[in-house]
Amino acid sequence: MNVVNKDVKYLNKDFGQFRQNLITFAKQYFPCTYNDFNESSPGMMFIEMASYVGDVLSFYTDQTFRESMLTQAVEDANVLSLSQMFGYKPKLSSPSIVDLDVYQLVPAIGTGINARPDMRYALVIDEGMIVETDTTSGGPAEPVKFRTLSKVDFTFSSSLDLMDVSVYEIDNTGDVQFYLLKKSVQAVSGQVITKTFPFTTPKPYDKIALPETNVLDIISITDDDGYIWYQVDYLAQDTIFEDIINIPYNDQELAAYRSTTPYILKLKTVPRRFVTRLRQDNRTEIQFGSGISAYSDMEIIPNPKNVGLGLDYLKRTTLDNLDPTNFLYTSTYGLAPSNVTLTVQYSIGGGIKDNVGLNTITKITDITYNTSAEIYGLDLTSTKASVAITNPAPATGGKSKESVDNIRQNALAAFAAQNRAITREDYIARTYAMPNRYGSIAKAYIIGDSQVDTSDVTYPRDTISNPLALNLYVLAYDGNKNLTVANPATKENLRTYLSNYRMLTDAINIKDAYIVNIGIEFEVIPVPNANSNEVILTCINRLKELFEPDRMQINAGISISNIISELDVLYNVQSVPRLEIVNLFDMNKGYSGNVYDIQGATKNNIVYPSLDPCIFEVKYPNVDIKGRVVKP
Amino acid sequence: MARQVYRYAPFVATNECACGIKLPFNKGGTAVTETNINSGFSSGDSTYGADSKIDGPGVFEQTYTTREQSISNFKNLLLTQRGERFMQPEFGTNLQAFIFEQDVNALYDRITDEINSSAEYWTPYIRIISIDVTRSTTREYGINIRIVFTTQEGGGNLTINVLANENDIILSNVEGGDNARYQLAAINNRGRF
Repeated sequence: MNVVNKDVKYLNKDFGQFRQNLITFAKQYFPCTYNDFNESSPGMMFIEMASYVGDVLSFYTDQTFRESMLTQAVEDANVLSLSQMFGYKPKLSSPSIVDLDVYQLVPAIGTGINARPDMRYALVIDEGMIVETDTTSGGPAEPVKFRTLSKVDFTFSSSLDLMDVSVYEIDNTGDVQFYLLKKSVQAVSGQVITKTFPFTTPKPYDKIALPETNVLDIISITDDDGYIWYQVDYLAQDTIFEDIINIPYNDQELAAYRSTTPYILKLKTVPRRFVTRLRQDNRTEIQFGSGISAYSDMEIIPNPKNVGLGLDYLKRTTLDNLDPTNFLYTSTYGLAPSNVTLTVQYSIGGGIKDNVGLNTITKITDITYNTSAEIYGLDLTSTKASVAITNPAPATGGKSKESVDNIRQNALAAFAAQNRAITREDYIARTYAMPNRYGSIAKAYIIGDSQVDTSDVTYPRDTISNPLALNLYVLAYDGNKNLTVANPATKENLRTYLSNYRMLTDAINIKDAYIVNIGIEFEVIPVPNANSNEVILTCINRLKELFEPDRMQINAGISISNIISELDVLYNVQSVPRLEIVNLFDMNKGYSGNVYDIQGATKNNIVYPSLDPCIFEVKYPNVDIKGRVVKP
Repeated sequence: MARQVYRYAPFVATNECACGIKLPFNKGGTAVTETNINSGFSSGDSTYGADSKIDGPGVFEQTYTTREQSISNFKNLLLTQRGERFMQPEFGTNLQAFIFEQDVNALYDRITDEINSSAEYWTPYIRIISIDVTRSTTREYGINIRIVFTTQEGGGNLTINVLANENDIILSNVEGGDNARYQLAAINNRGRF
């Protein structure tokens, strides 16, 4: 039989193209079967019906493809799934956040000028204190609950966690009776709910779904054996950050820097972990790992005895399917809960209504103390009763469910950010993002490492780059917002923090940048009839703004011409005939001691930084900036 | 936008090349086969609408002259309601809708205009000679439409009867000469041809 290879066009997309190509096809291959291509013809009806089917199939092919891309998808369910695939967690609603002032009274100890707060009565209030708005004092009709995000430690005060102490009550003799301690703590809105979920036979990747459709956050999951289950971004993530208080017991060496670095950051391995996912029906789903063996991954080495025929308790044979991602059933993706009851504590609520006004959150509904004051044998009843709260500013941030467009854009942003550091900017952003309680980095600058080229005998001072290492130069602020080297505890925390985002092949050297203190001397010609003092003051204030520590960056030069231009535009300045940058290095006067040849480093009116990254700092602007009015 | 009118294949005397397919589909449950195509098929006026049965399985009956195909197309036009055809929303006539209009003399003129304008646009190869619209004598809510027409291929006048009532639209076979009157009587008596 003669088989004719028919020329089929595959590029048809819509009804018109299908129709035209089917007509052409019929004309070409069935010239003696069908010839009537008029719209009125019954045969054309069939051709058009076939074109219609082609058009519909084409549409759904396009639509399926489009819906598989986050930027193009329009259906809620698809945007939701894709955004979660990108690592973004869509929010059903956002809670409101507020800064609470927490007060407590402590009795005075001593009299007269020796009077001081008896800090033995200072309390430590655990995080998770539940407070709510008072409906009788101008708050919303329905009370809005908030819970604190960190503990309130009245025994401790630092620049990062400042405690305000004031006199509260004086007796007839003028002696202080009570002091009022005040601290601030952040609180977040939402009603806390606790539910239990029993588990029997272990099931890999087991899931539970919370019944509410407005879950804000999973606060904690604990099992009846007392283990805590930790939330991770993805099940393969086996470590989480854990902060431990920076005291000599935990680290004798770093505890010396407790005042600026109150916590030490550690990485903790967590076999009991879970991820959350938002379902299409707006319920939050919690998924656990696949591990059935409680052994750590490191303790089982795959061998013929434990793959396939091994692991008797599983009664597996080689005929069973093996999960290549976790064939040992270890805790690679976390443990699957078995024969336990999990207690899940989570918060629900959020939305616009949670943005309550100032001074409306005044009721404490649940509070627990973690204080060691009992060791002094003191009665803390009245002290605990004195704890009071208020919110000096309105609560903000509460909003309802994100729109599809918002979810899409946020997911794309989250994907771009990713939880890893690749570029120079990633490292700098991560460095700045380290929470304050681990020590604060004020300035960060990263550059590729280089080494002296020892093979170059002619010019031995030349350097070659080291592609495997990066130098991260950091500096911190002291209590006066002057630049200083970061303390070892902060740098240790930074090392731990970055290790979670660092690429395996990247080596990071955390170094101190040099601080070059500078002074500015300038002469200015004022506009006619201008008050000289006022002109100088205006210029100095402008220079203070320009050399504010926040505006300075490591390895950034100073353009003298630009500074002169900035002064030139001031309303009472006619011109600036001279502006000079001078190096200040006298350590006895509080400067860094780094001597820098400013004149030698100035080319074309630009002061260049040193080869080893440094930062220019006007440490004492009130005395380091000097100006003089001259006549034209 | 100008509408492209596809030209028919020229009349094929040898009946070797089919033109299109006939309405109604599968009438008589037979189709033309290669073995009997010449013996069983006639294209004379007197056989239009009569069963040109030829033994053999099949779905569609094919037409072998443009005149024969033109008549099927005209039937298709009359039986299609406007908006019914996918991607051709203007194709068809609105006869079904007229049934539910007030039975006044103006309605008959509107029906005549509707058929004339549709045929002029969609089947320009059909020349309508006359359209008679009358109230059905046997059915309370029905109208009879008698269309006398000819095709451009030549030949005598042809007549088709349309009985439209609240339930459906029934077409008679196309007849030449006085046979059409008998067809109409048959529709009225049986209700369905």
